[in-house]
Amino acid sequence: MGNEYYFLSEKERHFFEALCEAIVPEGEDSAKDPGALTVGGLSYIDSSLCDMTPERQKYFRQSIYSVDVLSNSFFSKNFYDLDPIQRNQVLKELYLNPKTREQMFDLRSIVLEAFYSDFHVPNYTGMTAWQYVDFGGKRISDVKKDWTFLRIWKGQDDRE
Amino acid sequence: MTESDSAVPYDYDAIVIGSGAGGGPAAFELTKAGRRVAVIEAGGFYTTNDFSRFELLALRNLWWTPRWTSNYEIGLKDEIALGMGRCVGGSTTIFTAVAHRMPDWNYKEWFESTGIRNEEGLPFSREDLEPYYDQVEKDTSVRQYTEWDEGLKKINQGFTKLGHPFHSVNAYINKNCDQSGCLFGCPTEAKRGTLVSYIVPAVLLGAEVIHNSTVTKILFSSASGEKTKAEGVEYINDMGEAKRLRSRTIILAAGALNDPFLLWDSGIDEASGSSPSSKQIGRNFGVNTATIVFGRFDDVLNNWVLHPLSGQMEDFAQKEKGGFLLEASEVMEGPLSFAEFIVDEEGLPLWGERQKEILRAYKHYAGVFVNIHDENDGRVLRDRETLQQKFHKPITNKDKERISKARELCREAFNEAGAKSTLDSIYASHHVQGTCRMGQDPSKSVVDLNCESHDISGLYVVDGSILPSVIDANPSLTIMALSLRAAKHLKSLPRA
Ligand SMILES: Cc1cc2nc3c(=O)[nH]c(=O)nc-3n(C[C@H](O)[C@H](O)[C@H](O)COP(=O)(O)OP(=O)(O)OC[C@H]3O[C@@H](n4cnc5c(N)ncnc54)[C@H](O)[C@@H]3O)c2cc1C
Repeated sequence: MGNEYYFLSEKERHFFEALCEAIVPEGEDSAKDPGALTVGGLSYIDSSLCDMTPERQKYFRQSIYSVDVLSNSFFSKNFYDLDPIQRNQVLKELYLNPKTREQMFDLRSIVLEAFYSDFHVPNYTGMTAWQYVDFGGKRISDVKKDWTFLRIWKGQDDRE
Repeated sequence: MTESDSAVPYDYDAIVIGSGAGGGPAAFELTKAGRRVAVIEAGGFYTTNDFSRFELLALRNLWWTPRWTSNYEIGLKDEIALGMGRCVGGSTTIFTAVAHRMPDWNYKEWFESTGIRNEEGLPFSREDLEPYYDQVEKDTSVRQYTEWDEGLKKINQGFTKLGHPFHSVNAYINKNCDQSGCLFGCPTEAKRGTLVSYIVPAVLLGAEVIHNSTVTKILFSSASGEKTKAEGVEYINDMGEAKRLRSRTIILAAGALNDPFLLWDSGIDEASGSSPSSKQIGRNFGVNTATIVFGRFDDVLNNWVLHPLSGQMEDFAQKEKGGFLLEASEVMEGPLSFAEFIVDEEGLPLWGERQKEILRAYKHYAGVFVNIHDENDGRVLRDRETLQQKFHKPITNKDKERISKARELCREAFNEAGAKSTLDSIYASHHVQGTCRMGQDPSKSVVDLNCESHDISGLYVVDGSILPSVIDANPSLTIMALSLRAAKHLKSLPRA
């Protein structure tokens, strides 16, 4: 478990890998400064997309396409092949163009969810977002998070 | 409807579409009066034990995915995220429970907007709504909420120095509140939204709640020479099956963003002969455009352990005085929503290391929620080619002036209170209103004083969409009061 993908093609996985690095990057010491990829965020994105409606899936695929079209028009490369500064430039452009703004928000959202929701893949035991941002207290620290609504977690016991 | 259909007995005395601030009170009142009532709700039926601080799951289960405006289509740059609840209880299951009556000046604006008058022919006024406000406040245990969190205390220090102290809000919250949040459903039942105050009591009295079921069409019938009548609904149930139920009273309470589409899909244009009133559907859309100013303090505030929005400052609420209402403290109750909301100095959404740095300091932030008095200059519509739902809601220069004045004041207050820096948020709205306005004049409104459609008898609209113009208070109390008012009228009619 943890390395299975239900929806994303290899090329799309590469795209989201690059997007995760741009939106919630991993720090130098990933144990203390995890990012979306550290916690297995790709699996979150994959599982979420897999259970979306066909229209929504199509919309996300179109959004990936928009990003790559923009990357190619700027740098003649796909988003995955850009360096971090170029990726940020493309994302900013995507936001500034009103027609692709919503796509930018939705791509950003799914990556933010993959990390700040406190998600992690079943076999990951390191630091997750809530600990990272020190989000806790009454009814929060002890909340039981059942992730089995995601395919990657189906049939798995909750770690907490 | 076919002739054979009309031989089938009616399934219910009333069918209510949507179970939020508009649907809940009417459903309860009619059930209490012995009517057979069904409430059809697109979202799920979650109750107290289902609500927890598992933010992601709550966002998935209880909220509509945010719908964005497409203002770029009308040549404008700024977009607004429109948020609503999608569960039994509607937005009141996830609301922050501020329970305020609308200020007196809003009645005047209502009259100016649609010329709305009461039964005596006088301009609709406070006296016309007061008994219903009283009733809602009783039903929902409204009280002054005086338990302030550290964030609000700091914010208030700043504003007090500027001569604009905050006041405790009235809230639909009883004494059992343990300050464990509002936006993801109340885990203690202390929050008395429509779910606990009206829907569950209605179920106990015999109402049926058909949840996870989306109404796709309201059925109309017409006999020659007679006014078109409401006859029932079609909906898709939780198994994906198409179903049909019949009733002569249909109460549409699906919220201002959804009502227009349902009415158009039901063929209201044709059924009304493209009447002036049908042309008003989807127009006059208002949102109280909102934004948050966050202040970052050295102290740890953990401002997510709270009932948000416990204080309010209304000195500038009236449009002539500034046109913005401030409420505090709000940090969106969870890191995910906070991350979604924050923007940089240019108004660009944040991501990357800069955003992570701010998130690491999440516990140091408190926030002021800014709601402006916007105009009803927006429109809900369907794209002719793609058939997609579209929302146009200009942020005008006047709106921007209001927002920037409010932001400046908040920054000053944060500074006075000792905050080290401030941060802005995206534009959002949780107060969608006005797409099926109420009034006597069919060329300016969609429903009459009793909330009945000008065109279709037996079709009532009772939710945020009927507010004639935007109000300078959180809208739910007014919507619930109007719902009780409509229910009183419905109870006075003979059973179908
Ligand atoms: C996060 C948030 C915080 C808020 N805080 C406050 C506050 O503190 N105080 C205040 O006064 N107001 C607050 N509001 C606003 C308030 O909750 C709304 O103004 C009010 O609930 C609107 O009532 P309504 O009946 O128009 O819509 P809703 O309460 O949203 O109810 C509409 C219901 O209809 C359902 N529906 C839609 N389409 C269909 C369909 N086709 N078939 C079946 N069902 C359908 C929806 O799922 C929804 O449950 C807040 C709103 C939000 C989102």
